[in-house]
Amino acid sequence: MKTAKLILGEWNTKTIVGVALGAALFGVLMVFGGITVFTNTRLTTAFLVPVVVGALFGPLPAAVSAGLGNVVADFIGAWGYWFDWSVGNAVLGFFIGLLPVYGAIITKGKFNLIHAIIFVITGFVGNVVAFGLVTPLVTLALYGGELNITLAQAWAAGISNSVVLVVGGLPLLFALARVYASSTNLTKE
Amino acid sequence: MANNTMLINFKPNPSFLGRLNGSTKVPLFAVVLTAVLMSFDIRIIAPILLLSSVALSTLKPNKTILKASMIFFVVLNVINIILFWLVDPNVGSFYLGGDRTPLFNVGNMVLTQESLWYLSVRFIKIFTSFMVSLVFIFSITPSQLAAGLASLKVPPKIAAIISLTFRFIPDLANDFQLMKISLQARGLELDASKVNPLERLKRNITLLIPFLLTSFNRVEVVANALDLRGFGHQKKRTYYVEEPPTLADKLMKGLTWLCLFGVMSYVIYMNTLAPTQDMWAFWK
Repeated sequence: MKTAKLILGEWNTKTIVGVALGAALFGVLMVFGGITVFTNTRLTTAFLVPVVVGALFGPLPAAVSAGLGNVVADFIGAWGYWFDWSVGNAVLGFFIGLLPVYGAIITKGKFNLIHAIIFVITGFVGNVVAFGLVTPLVTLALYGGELNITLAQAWAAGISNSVVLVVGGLPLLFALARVYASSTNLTKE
Repeated sequence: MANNTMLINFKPNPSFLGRLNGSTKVPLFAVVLTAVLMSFDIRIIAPILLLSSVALSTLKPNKTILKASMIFFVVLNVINIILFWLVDPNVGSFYLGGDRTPLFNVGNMVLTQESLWYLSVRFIKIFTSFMVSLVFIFSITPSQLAAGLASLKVPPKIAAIISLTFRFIPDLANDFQLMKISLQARGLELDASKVNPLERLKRNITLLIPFLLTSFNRVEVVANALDLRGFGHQKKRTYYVEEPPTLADKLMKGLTWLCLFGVMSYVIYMNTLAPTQDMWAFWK
């Protein structure tokens, strides 16, 4: 029961605003905060956003902000609409946002080496599931014949996202945990 | 883009489209966008491109932003199209019944008539969807967007998430610009002529972490402001910007229904009666 609540997140006003902010950040970073590595695929810093949203609100809010953020990016990004990728990004956002579920409660300053290792593994698994399985399936359902290109894009996206998550995500999580740890200001004796 | 604040409007555009209700604009946009996305048929896409260009000119958008986004669009999509062709040079044959008519060689690769046609139509299609999005974004305000989504029976909380997302974009862009300037004033060199691109990218990423952390500080402020105004207390709500429909609203609503009917009959026809799923080409 408690895990279910951790996964779904608590949808109060704060979560709603946080998800909206995350989606806006994701969209802006996807358009302006990256470089093209492949056709319609970018080495983007956007995936640092679901890391923060997941740490603060949980996996489902992280998934929503990544998916909606991708739609917003398609909206202002001038590369056309690719809803298959929005779904894939939402799935990856969910995996990244699992932080509180495995005990990395950032808002209480809890983030150690074991959490970091689990974070890297879930990020890797998330990339495989999101871009190796979910995105191609949605592509097949929505866009029919463009499967070849999607599979090639999936490799590029998976690798560049993993790099961003390890190089950017880990320092970000440690920084975030430090911020919250210092604000609680209590030590166990 | 130096001034992203111009991208999202907070005041309704004074033109015909700007004065329509949110509940008129959102369904119209949804249907027109579906019409663009559903096919690779240039006979459907070209008229929409023409209409959206006319619509965009009536909105009188900021010229510099328009120019910047057009250049951005062309550069990005030309690169995308070329990469697409390099990955799969025979992509056109798949959509055009397997024919293969070589036009000329590029190095040791062959450009076929089918691929050229497919990639051009694809380029025009993406350009059209971009134009439709531009018309929408220049003609709507975040509040109208929320009202329009609510009229489509989207739950108010989800409508609020989507409209807040658009409302946040200019604020975030402004914040990032300010943070960049203030760190440059403290000696962080980001000038393209003085730092090599890789180092510049790295410095931009170091800039990003404090930016992300401070951005989420505003969540509490905005959430408190919303709570104080009784946000989410009831399942249903009304919208201040939603006015009684005018004649223009009713006419555009009728047009939306007409387009929806057209889109649905096209989809049904293509999936049942159509002899072939191949895309239309002028020589066939």
